[in-house]
Amino acid sequence: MESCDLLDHVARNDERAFGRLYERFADRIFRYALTLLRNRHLAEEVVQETMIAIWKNAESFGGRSQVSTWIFGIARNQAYTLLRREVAGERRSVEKLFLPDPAEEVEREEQVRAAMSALPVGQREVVFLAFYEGLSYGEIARILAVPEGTVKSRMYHAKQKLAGALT
Amino acid sequence: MTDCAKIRELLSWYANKTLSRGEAQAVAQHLASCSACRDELAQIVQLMWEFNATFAQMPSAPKKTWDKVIASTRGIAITQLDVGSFLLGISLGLSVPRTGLPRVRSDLRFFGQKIKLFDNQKGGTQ
Ligand SMILES: [Zn+2]
Repeated sequence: MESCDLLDHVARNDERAFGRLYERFADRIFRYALTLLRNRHLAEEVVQETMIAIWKNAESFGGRSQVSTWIFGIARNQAYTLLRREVAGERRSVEKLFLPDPAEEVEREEQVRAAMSALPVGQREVVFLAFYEGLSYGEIARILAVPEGTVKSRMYHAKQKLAGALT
Repeated sequence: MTDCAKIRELLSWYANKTLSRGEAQAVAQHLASCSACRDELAQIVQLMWEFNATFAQMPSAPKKTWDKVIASTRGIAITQLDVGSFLLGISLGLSVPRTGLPRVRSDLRFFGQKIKLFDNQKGGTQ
C-alpha cells in the first residue's frame, strides 16, 4: 500500500494501517531527529510525538505534498519544540551520531562520520534529506520552510566542506 | 552567476534524480561540454553513496517506542502492572481507548518474546 493510502486509513482510525505507517517511518524519523539533535533519548521522543501528531491529524494531510515531506515537516517541528524545552531546562548531552561498527573500523568510514558530524546542523539535515531520503530541493525547502535557493546553497557549501575534509 | 556555478547548485539533485525534466536536460547538456562539472558530479555521486551507507548505519528507533505511541493514541494507560524478571514475566495492561470498551490484555514475556494470554478485543496492531 502507498503511504498516502495508509494515511487515508489512519485518518479513519485504522490501527493496523497506523502500525504499518510506523514501521515504514519510525527509523527514518529517528535518524532524522538524531541528525538534528544528536541525542537518542530526544530522538525517541520525536518519533513518539510525530506519530501521535500523525494519528491526530492524518485527515488534515491534503495530498499537496509527498507523505514523507509532510511527516518530516512534523518531525522537524517536534524536534525544535523539544530543543527549545531542553535549552530552557538543562543542557542536553551530545552523543556520537553513529553506533560503533561491530566489524573492524574502516578508516574511511570513520572520516566520513567525522566530516558529517562537523557540519553545521542546517547543512547536515539537507545532506540527510537529499542523500538518505532522496528528496528534491523543493521538498526539502518545504520541510525546512526556507526558500529553495537556501537549500541549494546549504548543499553546495556542505559539499565543499565534505570534499575538503575527505580528500 | 556563471553557468558552472548555476549547474553546480543542481548537481546533488541531478545525482539523486529528483530534478525536473527541464533542469535535468540543462545539466546533462552542460556536462557534455564541461569536464570540470563532470568531475564535480563524480565527487558528489561518491559522497552520496558514502553518506547513504553511513546514515543507514545509524541506530534504529528503540523497540519500546511503538508501545508508548499506541498507549497514548489508544487512551491513557490507567494501570501498568509489570511482574517478572529479566527473562520471564507477566504484564497486565488496561487502557481506555477513545471509543468503545476498555481494553484488557495480558502478555507473557518469555525470553524477550511476547506471548498473548488473553485480550478482550480482537484486531489492532501488536
Ligand atoms: Zn561547468
